[in-house]
Amino acid sequence: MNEVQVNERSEALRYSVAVGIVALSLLARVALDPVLQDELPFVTFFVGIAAAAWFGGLGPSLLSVALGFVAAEWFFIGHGHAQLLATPRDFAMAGCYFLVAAIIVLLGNAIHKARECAASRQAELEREIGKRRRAEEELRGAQDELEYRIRVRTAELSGAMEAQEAEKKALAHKSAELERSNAELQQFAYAASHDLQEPLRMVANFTQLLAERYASRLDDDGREFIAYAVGGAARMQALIQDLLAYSRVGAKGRGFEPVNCNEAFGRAVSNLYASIGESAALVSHDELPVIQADATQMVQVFQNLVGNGIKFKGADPPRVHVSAVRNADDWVFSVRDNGIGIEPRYAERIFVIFQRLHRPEDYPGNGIGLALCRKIVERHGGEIWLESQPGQGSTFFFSIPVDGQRTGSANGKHGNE
Amino acid sequence: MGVTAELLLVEDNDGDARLTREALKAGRLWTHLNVVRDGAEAMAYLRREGKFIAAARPHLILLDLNLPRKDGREVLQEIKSDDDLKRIPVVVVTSSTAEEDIHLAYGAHANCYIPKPENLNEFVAVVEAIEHFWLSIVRLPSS
Repeated sequence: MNEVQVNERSEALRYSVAVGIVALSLLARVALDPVLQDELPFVTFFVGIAAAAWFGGLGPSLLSVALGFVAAEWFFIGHGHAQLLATPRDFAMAGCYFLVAAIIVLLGNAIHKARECAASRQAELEREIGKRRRAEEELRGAQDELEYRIRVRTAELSGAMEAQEAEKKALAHKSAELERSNAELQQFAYAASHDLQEPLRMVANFTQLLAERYASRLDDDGREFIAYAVGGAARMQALIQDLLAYSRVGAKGRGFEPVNCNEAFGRAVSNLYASIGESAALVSHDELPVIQADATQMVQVFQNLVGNGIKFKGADPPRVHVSAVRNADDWVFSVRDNGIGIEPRYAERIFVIFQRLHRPEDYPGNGIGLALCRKIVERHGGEIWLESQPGQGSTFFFSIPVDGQRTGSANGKHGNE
Repeated sequence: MGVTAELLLVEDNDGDARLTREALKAGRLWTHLNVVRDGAEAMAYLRREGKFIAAARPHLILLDLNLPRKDGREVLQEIKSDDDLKRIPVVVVTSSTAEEDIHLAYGAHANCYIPKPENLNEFVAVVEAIEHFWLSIVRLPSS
């Protein structure tokens, strides 16, 4: 819009200048009149036309040709009378005038065009330079903005990273602390049960010695009291043995290795040889897998579960069957018996250490077997549960991860026993 | 052996010392049981120092590992690195069943390693077995 206005203004200017130049040419010719008389009436106008062509281009120069012609005719040929082109000489002069004027116009116009062209090129160049400069400035601004944003974001990120790092550290610290306190607790349970054994051994041994050597010198009451002392000490020894075995699962467990469960099961059954024979039990198994586990502890799990199946038998001779099913991530073992079964409401309680559902006179034991199984299975990253109804037998299930999720080696240190 | 067998028992638990004495009493051999209660006393006894100036050289040493003051493991090392004393057989009787203790004891040339039995009958049986094997079957060097 602006550019168009500038053009219009310069158009008007160009024509006004052309008119002005013709006026000046007229004045010059009037000034020269005393010298030239009637000769060369157009001469100053040629200069004016050239100037108009140089300054204003084609339009203004043609205007100045026309005005110059009229002015010359009026002032210097007709001398104030409207006798335009009265004689043939006038025609000849007019012809000469227009010829020369046309040449001047053409030349002047060419010069004018070249000048304009150069000017417009210059302007364009300047515009281009301006544009570039603006673009550069914009670019610099964008760059600055970007740099600023990067700085801000970097600061934010490093702040976030620091926070994350700190969080990670805190978490690692907590987990290390937990591990340590857990290990300490296991060590404590182990040491406590181990150190309790020594004085208890004294109590058990000397009450027994007393019973053996002095029974004949005591009355019935004395013998009864000593029998309770001996029995109590023996039971406590058994309990401490169990506690020691329980705390040993975590504190003294060995690293995991490939364990053929058929062999582990076989060893468990041979350990149960006496009770299997006594109860005429039928113990069978499907093909069992090889898993990543602590071999000794797997034997213990099979032995406790199969042993329970035999111990808690119903009216019929006990039958225990072991099988295994592969799930997505773990092996699920099942130990099924035809024993007395368990009420579902006790399904959780039986896995707690020293919890018993029967009196020792009916079914001997300390309530350690299933607690031990659970601890072992959990150390392997698995779970243990059961399905049972009273009088309809029980099925114990336990899962062991296929890939041996947790490595047991971290717990595999030895201490004094 | 003809004469009385001298035994040195290194044991800090009086109850176990007494039980050992009782078990030996039931045996058929004439044994004389000397009891010291820690490692330092054991070495003093063997080297006839201080109040042990008139101590008899033992034919057999029964050594507990967990002792106050000088530990049983150190006592074993000292006995077995002494040119004279190393000829006396050392029976380690201890409540430790740790694999490294067993390893360490035999490494230090203990003559055998016996875990302390849990109940009275086993304890008596073990003491009788020691007595029978080391003082009756085995031929020991004359001092």
